[in-house]
Amino acid sequence: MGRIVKVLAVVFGLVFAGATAVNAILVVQSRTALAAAGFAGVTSAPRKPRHLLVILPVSDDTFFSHILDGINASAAIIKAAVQVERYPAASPEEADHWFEIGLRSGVDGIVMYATPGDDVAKRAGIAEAAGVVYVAVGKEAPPGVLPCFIGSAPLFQGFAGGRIITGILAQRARIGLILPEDVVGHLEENSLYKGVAAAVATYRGASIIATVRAQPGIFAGEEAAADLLSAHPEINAIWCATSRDTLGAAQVLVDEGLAQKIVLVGADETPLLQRYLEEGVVAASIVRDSRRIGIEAAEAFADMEDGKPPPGIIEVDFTVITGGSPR
Amino acid sequence: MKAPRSLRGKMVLVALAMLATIGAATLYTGIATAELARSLGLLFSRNQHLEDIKIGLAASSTDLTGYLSTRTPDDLSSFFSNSDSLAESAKVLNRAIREDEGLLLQRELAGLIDRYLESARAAAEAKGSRSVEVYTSRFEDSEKTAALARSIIERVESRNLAASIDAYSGLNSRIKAVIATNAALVVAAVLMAFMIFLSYTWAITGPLSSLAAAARAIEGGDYESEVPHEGATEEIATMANAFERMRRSVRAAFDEQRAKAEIERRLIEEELRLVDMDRKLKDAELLALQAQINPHFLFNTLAAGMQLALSEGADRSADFMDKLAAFIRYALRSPSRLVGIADEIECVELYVWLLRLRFGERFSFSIEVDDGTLGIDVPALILQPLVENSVGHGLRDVETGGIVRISARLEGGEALLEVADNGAGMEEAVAERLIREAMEAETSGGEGGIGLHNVIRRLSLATGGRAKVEMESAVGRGTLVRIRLPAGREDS
Repeated sequence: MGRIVKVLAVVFGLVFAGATAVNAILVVQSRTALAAAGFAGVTSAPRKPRHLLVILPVSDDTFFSHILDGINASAAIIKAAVQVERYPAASPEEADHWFEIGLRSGVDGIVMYATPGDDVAKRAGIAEAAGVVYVAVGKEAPPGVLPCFIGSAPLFQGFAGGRIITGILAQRARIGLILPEDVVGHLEENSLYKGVAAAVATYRGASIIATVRAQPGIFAGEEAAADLLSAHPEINAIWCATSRDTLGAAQVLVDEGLAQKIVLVGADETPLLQRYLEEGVVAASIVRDSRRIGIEAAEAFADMEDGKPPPGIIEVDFTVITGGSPR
Repeated sequence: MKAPRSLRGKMVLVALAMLATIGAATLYTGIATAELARSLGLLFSRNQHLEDIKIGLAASSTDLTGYLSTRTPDDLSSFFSNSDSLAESAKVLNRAIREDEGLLLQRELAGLIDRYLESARAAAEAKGSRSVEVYTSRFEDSEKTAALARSIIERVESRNLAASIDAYSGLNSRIKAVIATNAALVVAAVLMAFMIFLSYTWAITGPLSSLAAAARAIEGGDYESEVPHEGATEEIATMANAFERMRRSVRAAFDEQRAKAEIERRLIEEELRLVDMDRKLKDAELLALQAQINPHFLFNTLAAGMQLALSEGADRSADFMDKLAAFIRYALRSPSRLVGIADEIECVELYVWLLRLRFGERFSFSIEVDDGTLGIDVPALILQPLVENSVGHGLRDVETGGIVRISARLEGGEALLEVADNGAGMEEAVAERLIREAMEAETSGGEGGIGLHNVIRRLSLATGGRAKVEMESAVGRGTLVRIRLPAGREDS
């Protein structure tokens, strides 16, 4: 009996110590979480020599998320602490707001998405005057002399898409285009459109039937594709400029029983898009290397901050993938 | 630390252990709760810095606007005062570049406030120097920067609020776990304290129980088991030792009583034996008295026969009757009397004379006596029965050449009386058995009246057991009976 009592005393002692330890851990965790949540921030975060402000629109287009991936991947290399500020795509004035903050608060550099029509050259001049490195990223470089713009090659992307469609349908190609909503001005001046048109022009009889603009998004893509098909029943090929629009258009084709009857050429690469490619709903996708854009932008910022001259316009490459492409 | 040995010390230690355990649990739970509350307060108190900056910024901006509008010294003074306060408040902001979004926002806010203060002070100074273009442009810049700073503050507040809500939500879930672990540790502490109490109680009362068991055992008559006192406190050990001493004393008294009883029992037995011997002696004397009735008649008759034989000229018959009467006279006197060895030899010579008359030259007898032995007292009739045994048993089947040797001599402080024959003899084991039986026999049953056992018994009574009778014999080589007597004269 005496032995059992001693053993139980030890057992309860261990439970007591264990409960106290767990309790202490919980209290410390709570305190740490509360302290980190407050104004002080995580003061143990590593110090960096450069402060890079990245201003991008809020969008579920993988083009932007991949840019951010590229910047973050390069941040460690260029030793920069990256501050990301997102603004609603419909409120570009908020981008200006953050641009102003960046200039006045003393950040070392700003990487900013240049919307079509944005005066990149003027913004570069203001930034230079404020002593802040400015790097513009975007899909299509605006006209004029630009100190630093990192973008894709929309003309070639449009041409590649057009070639895929005409390669399948030849002169029978009747194409509907779904372009991003931020495409401004005359369609004939848009590089994507011009690329598709150049490819179609090589086949007599093939033509671009209609062009719509849509916010990058699955529902927006569905709506745009449905509108195109209902308004133009003769359309037998659709070209989408964003991954989300492509997914929306693919869903419409599946719903309408038009999969593989209408040639759908999309943009970029997501797991769902990959599945559509494997099923043949999407014939091909023009994958812009937007991650590369991010990497190039970060490197350009570091170089310019180190005193090197601006690189000018850099257009990163793209690839065309189909259902049979290796992943 | 040396554990206390006293009962009081142990009880105090138990109480202290219980109090310490439960007290530690209570203290800890209190500290943990206070710490959580303090952390919660910290969450909101830190955001107060942001509020101070916001207020300072608004006040500075208002004062600057007022000063630029009215140009009153009070506004200017207030502006510089608030600007200094704002600068002081902004000192808590992070200015280092760190990989943390919140800290980077603070850095931006710090930069904007610096820019604001620089522009605002420049505007105020330009106003003083009446440089309209400069102060308006710097004022516009300060106002724009202030607006951007306020937007950053809102952003930080919004972010902090979201983070605080998340943290508070996490805190709520942790508080449940903290309460559960608090309850667990309090229960565990109480149980542990109870077990410590039980353990010590066991240790304290264990020796008492053993002592009680020992008391019950002694009460039941068991004085052999020792009283245990291992692990006992000083007080209980003292009691146990005292109890043990008492047990040993009682047991010693009992042993003494038993020893006395045993001695008394032996004394009683000895008395009974003496009474029995006395009775037997009286019986023997009575028998001897009865036997003396006829000897007087026999003596008278033999005397008459001797007178008749002399008157008729039969000298040899008269001599026979005379020696027979002398032998019988010697033999019929009290057998318990002591006589000298000379008397015993004389008796043996008479007996041998009579045997020769009976057996003629069939047996020869030799008697060798050391003169030094003649005066030694011995019980009467100890040699004649031995000679009788030699003739009656040893030489019974010997037709001729039988020899009986009787001797008495001194050797090593002892008188040795020996009767030896060259008769049939016996095995050594038989001889030993005869001696043993003779020594153990209670009554006379020997062949020929006074036998070997009678001799041994009387010798033992007469010498107090100091006389010894030995027998040496071998088949076909005869038998020797030896009596060892202490050479000094002894009273029976």
